[in-house]
Amino acid sequence: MAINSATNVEAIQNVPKKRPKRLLRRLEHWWFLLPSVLAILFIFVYPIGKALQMSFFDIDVLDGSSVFAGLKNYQAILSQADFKNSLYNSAIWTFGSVAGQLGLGLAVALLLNEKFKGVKIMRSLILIPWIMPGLAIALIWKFMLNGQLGLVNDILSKLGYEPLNWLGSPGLAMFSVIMINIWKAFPFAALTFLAGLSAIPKDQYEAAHVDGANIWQRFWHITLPSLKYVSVILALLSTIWTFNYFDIIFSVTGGGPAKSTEILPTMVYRFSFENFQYGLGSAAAIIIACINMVFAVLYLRMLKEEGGQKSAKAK
Amino acid sequence: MKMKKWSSLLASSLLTLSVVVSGCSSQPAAKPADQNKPADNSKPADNAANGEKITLSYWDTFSGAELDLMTQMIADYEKSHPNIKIDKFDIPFDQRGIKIQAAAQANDLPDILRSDYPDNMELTKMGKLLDLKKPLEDMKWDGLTDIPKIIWDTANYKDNLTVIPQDRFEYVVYYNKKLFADAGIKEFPKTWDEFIDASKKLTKDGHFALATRNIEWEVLSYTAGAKWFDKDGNLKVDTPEWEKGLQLYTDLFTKYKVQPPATPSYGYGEEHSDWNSGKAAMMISGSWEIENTKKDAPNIDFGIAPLPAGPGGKATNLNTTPWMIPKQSKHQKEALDFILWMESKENVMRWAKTLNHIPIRTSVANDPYFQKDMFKPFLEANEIGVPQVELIRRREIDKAIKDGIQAVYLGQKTIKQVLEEAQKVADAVWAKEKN
Repeated sequence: MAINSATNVEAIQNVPKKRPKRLLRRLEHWWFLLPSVLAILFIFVYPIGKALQMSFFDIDVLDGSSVFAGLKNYQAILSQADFKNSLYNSAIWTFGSVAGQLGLGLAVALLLNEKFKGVKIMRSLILIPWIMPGLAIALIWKFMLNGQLGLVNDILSKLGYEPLNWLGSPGLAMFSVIMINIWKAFPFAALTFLAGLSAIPKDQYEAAHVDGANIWQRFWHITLPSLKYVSVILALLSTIWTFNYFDIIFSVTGGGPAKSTEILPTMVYRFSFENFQYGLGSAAAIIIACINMVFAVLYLRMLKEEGGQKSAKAK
Repeated sequence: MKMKKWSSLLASSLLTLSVVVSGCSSQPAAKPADQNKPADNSKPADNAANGEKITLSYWDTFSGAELDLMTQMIADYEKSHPNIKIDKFDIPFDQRGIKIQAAAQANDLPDILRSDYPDNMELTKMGKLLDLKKPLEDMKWDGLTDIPKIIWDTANYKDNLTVIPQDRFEYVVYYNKKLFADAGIKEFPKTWDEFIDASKKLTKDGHFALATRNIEWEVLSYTAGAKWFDKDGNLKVDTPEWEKGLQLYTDLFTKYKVQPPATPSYGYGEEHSDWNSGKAAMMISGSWEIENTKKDAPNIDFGIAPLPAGPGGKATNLNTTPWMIPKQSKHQKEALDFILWMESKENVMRWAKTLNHIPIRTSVANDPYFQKDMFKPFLEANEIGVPQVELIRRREIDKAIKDGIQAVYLGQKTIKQVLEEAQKVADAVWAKEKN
């Protein structure tokens, strides 16, 4: 049978175009993701990659040299007394701040969970420290804690107490910056706990009340267990944020006096932007990132566990 | 449906790109020119000659009364040069090192920069500054001889001429005349012992003798005879002279207790709060404090005296505020023209008289106005002033000493230990710089 060109054209036209269409559809998803991927590359991956690369070099910006140093920068950082001091201070700063934020946040949330006149306004007002820029808060508190002219010492003097050297003595300086950080960050903890409290069924409290449980027993056996996952997630997030938080310590004490408030981020700043030792600074930053990874892994595990428990409950 | 998908894609792309672009945008500064292009000073200012408007970017790192006057003088320059506009950008003094270094790394320096030591030396070493020797010699600029050689030497790094000194300053002691009178001190102390005695008398009734900001240890050590290099030309800070100077500096707080209890945490702000509020009877600082104190604390009747003489005799530091033109500037000729206009005899007189600074030019300093008693402590620096040491990595040594001083204040270290540790830093610095 002779091949009919018209038939062939028809036959060709009737062949379903399955393969190219499926491939294009798959590629479409990637096109949608591409802008976000590019943004992540520019904003996160490139700077981290560059810092990692610089951490293996001895960089001198003043004479323009950049010599491969291997792990020398890491060895230098880890063996320095400054690193151990900064790590210790970071631990005190982080755990002190987080414990204070969670404790105060929970107390305020319990208060705001009650019904009283003006509670809605109070819930808005407590956000003020949270929304103020860290630098503004740092400067205001720095003035208030001034040894000679500060408001806090003025109040203490009027109450008959000796003025304290808030920012000039090592222990008090760390205490002061922790308090400032708690003041700034507790609203977030308070609102998160408040959301958690509002999800606790009221009938549990009613049943406990009927069974004769007092306030403390209801708090210990109902409230706290119900807030367990919220608390852990909040603690982990606050730990990650606080560990990297630079503004308050840099603005209030600059890491002093005598490095008693120098934490790892301010140490990185000192190496990189005061001494212009970019290689050392980058190595220190990578070490901080590795420490943060531990918290991040814990956080993800908690999320996964909570997700697993929720699906088990749903079944 | 397909249209909707693609329009969503376009919208999300535009949004993401706008975030990236805005995040990457930089401060207003000069557009970077080709770093490898040699500076060409012989070409005429084509743009200016053609009447085209030129905008010069200018970074200033100082504050207070100086900035106010600079703003007025820029306005006057723009009036007399209608096709030149100067965009002044003020950088906080304590942030200047970071800002300038970051800009230098990014080839994003302005057309004109007025900063402080050691920025001038760092930028010269990095090859970022225009060589001004030839253009100034070719035009036979009179400032080359009218500005004292010691000032030229202190402003420029080694044999380079990349900086034109704009102003000069040397440290003196500002003292509150009322507090001195109340303490029964008739004459300002001339020696260390007299200074300690006077300080003890001034510390009473909530007042303290001296407010400091952890930088004055250098000039006090100069009065102890401290030098940066030994006779063999090696960088040496672990010497008896430095030890004596730093010991006095820290003893004022730890032993004689004539300073505020929060001194270990003091910076510029706290020191000036105490001075301006009348809590501190003395402050060691430069000539810029004259107009700043008149502006911020007009009630304080203050006197000016030279630093008390120590075991090494009388001394002070000698520093300048440098004008710099980055090589990358596309308007080098216009930038130089503005600087030379600012450094003309007439404008140097205006600057010095308005601010009560010692004029940078000798011919202007000889004017009868500057022969008043208040200027004598500053003028003494011509004989006793110690020029800035030529170390581009000086910040590292300073930091080691400053941190050490804080540790001494807190009883954690001795001065000897501080200097031993600072010497290790100095050895590392010198190993890089001696070649």
